[in-house]
Amino acid sequence: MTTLANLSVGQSARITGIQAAPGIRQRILDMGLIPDIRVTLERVGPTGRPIWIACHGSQIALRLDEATGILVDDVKVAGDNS
Amino acid sequence: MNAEAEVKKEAPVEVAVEGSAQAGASRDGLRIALAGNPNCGKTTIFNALTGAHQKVGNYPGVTVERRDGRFELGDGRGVALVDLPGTYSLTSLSPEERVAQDELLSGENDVIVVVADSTNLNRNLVLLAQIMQMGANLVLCLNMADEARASGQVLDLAQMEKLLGCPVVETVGHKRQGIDALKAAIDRALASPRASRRLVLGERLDNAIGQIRALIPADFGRPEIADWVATKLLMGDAETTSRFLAHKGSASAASEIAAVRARIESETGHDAPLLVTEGYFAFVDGLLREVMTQRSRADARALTEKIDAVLAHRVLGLPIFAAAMYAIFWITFTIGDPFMGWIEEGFGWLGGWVGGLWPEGSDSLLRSLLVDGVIGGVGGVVVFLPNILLLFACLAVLEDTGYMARAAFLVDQLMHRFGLHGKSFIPMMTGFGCTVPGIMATRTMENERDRLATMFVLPLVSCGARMPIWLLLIPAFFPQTWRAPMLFGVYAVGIVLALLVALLLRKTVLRGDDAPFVMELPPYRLPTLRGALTKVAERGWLYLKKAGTIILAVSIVLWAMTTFPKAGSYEVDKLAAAGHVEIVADPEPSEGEGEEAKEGGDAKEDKGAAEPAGPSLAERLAMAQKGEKVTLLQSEADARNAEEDLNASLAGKIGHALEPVFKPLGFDWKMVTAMLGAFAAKEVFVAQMGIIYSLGEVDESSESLQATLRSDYSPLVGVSLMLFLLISAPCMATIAVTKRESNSWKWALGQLGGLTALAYIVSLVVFQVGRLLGF
Ligand SMILES: Nc1nc2c(ncn2[C@@H]2O[C@H](COP(=O)(O)OP(=O)(O)OP(=O)(O)O)[C@@H](O)[C@H]2O)c(=O)[nH]1
Ligand SMILES: [Mg+2]
Repeated sequence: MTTLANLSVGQSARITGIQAAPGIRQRILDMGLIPDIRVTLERVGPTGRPIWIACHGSQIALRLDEATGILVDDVKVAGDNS
Repeated sequence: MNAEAEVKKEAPVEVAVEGSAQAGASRDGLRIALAGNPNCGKTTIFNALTGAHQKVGNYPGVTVERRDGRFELGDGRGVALVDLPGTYSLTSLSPEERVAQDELLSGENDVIVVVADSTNLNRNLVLLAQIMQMGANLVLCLNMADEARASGQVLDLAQMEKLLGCPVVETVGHKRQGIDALKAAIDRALASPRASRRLVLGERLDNAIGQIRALIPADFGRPEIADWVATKLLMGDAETTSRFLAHKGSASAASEIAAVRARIESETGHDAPLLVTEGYFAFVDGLLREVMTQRSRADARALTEKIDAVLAHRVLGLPIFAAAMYAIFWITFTIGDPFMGWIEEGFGWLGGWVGGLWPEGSDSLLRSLLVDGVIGGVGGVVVFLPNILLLFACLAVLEDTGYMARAAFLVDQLMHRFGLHGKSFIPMMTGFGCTVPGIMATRTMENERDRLATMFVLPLVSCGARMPIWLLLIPAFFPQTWRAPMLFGVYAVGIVLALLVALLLRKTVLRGDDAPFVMELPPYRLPTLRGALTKVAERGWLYLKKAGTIILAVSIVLWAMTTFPKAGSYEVDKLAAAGHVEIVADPEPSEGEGEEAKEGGDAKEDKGAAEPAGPSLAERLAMAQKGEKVTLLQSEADARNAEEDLNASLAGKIGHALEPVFKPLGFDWKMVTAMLGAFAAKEVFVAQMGIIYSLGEVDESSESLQATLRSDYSPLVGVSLMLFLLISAPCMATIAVTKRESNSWKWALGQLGGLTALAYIVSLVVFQVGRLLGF
């Protein structure tokens, strides 16, 4: 299954689900990372982590651990929104 | 208006939700709270309304405690205003969110002003939706209207008011635009205390919430928040559920609630928390579709993206960050230097002038108190004000532009390796200013272990109060070109040690899982000149206030301890009486010669070399002891007597008693007494060194403390001393705040003892190894 952690910089994808411990899962949801939303991987940290994504016009940094729990599909090269 | 929107707010209704908040407190007058997502500008609005100067910054998590203030409405009615920490939703994960949640649920507020970042309404209005469920009397403040407008977004405010059932205003907080309109809106909300419209989350959810609400006993929480409680129970929120289960008569209801939840989950194939959250977002989406007449352009963030392409660059990011930090220390040192010189001269002149009010050679105690204790002590600290202001100006730029969040992003992985957290970084940067707010800032961390580890190591991050120590000691021992790098080095050593200690803690007492890291990165913002200046002025004022209060008080105590008791009888006098010593008047100092005479007047044995001809003072005294006849200058005799007075004083006795413990580190008793004083406040070290050397000197126009230190101690002692002061015992205020924030004396005292032991070991090793290597 594809997760946010599998994207490469410049790709966007649609969120399909979130898997994480209840507390942090709610935090991720509250920040607007909910199913059907498109996110773009904007950049990554010096060692390839953490990752930096854009969604809904906000920019969010996430660790790879959290990113692996964010399931996505419909991966595209960003800018090619349909 | 629909009928359900008539849930009127009564005057204080007992306790909000059982157990939460200390409601019921008597209050007269009106009370209003500011709520909103992190970094949406709540504190900016708070400051604009009340005229306060609470800290703002362009990163999430600046405010971590509630702040109270007052302002007046148009008609002169006074209002108590509460500023709250930012929160994404009413589910608390970290201590600072808890504070916000408790206040909002307390039911104590006549109006809740929900501040929203207009450039990110999709997410910001979710909190509004949740607060609507609490039946509160709302005002929506759409802040950052300038940025939203610039991005091309247009909103139909009238339509928004109609749909939400509450006043809606646009503001530009940092420019104080729309503040009067905000007051007017608050007035309107107060005048017609209609609650906002009931939230509609869609048929399925509304039904489920309705069913659960019917199951909640009437005495569980305030009736106004029943919708909200029902939603939480539907979501299976751990805290609300456990409180509900503890409530009498809830047992049968609990299983019915579970059944409602199971039904909706099986019907939709999604879990309840997800359904509810999606419901909130869908509500906001629907609202925005109706009120957003024009969306913002896609390139609204273009400038921020261009800057991030460099500053947050995968390869360049960290070197740029290191360079920025280096620049801060360079600026603090180099630009501050001339200003510091002026203030120093000013105090020198002042000391001379005050001293001159008494006749030559007078040993008035008042004169000594003023010249040695106050001017020598407090003056020694105030001298560094320009440097402190520069340091805070640099930190203000980092905080206000939005770079801080980028730096946290860049260092997260590094911090992670040491068992810390990207979010540990912001408290650490705050700690450059002062450790106490740094420890407070750890409240944004969700994980208790991360939080404790960060708190424990924070005193290792050199704070502003220690800056005067470095500014005194570094130039005393190192040549100009080495100074900025040395200062950078001191900070670097502190940070490296902080990481190592954190790693040790996380591998031993604080072992546990990694905490999640999810952090929002705000757009870059240009700090306003006014904002930056107030921030710097505020810090400068605090520094002076501290110098004028705590440091003054401690200086006077230390002066007294260093002055009394006097020696009573002096060796020189005895020898003179025995006829072994002849005291002659000093020769008139001519150009250049003055310097030499002073060096000679120094009682330190090993520095006799400064005087080219003849045996040193100590040698001559030794000769006199053996019965030879020697001559002393008057100044030499005075210096010798002053030295004996110092030794006999209380501070001298304590210092001497402890000296053996610190001898292996290279410290003498003078440093020891100054270090003890530094526990009250770190700057006191500088003050006490000033006092000791001021008392020990006879000459008012004496050379600077730095020159004295240079001639008395080797650079190796300087390094050992700086390390000890960097690592050892945090100040009293730090211990107190660690106790409060960790809620345990064990941590506070562990921090005190652990760090002091570490300091001792590091200084010992450095000094002894350095000596072996011949430094
Ligand atoms: N452009 C613009 N910037 C603003 C406005 N209001 C506030 N700011 C800036 O936004 C940043 C955040 O402001 P704060 O007042 O600290 O935000 P806060 O909501 O109190 O943040 P937390 O305490 O972290 O939750 C600061 O840099 C402010 O100067 C505004 O209306 N327009
Ligand atoms: Mg704030």
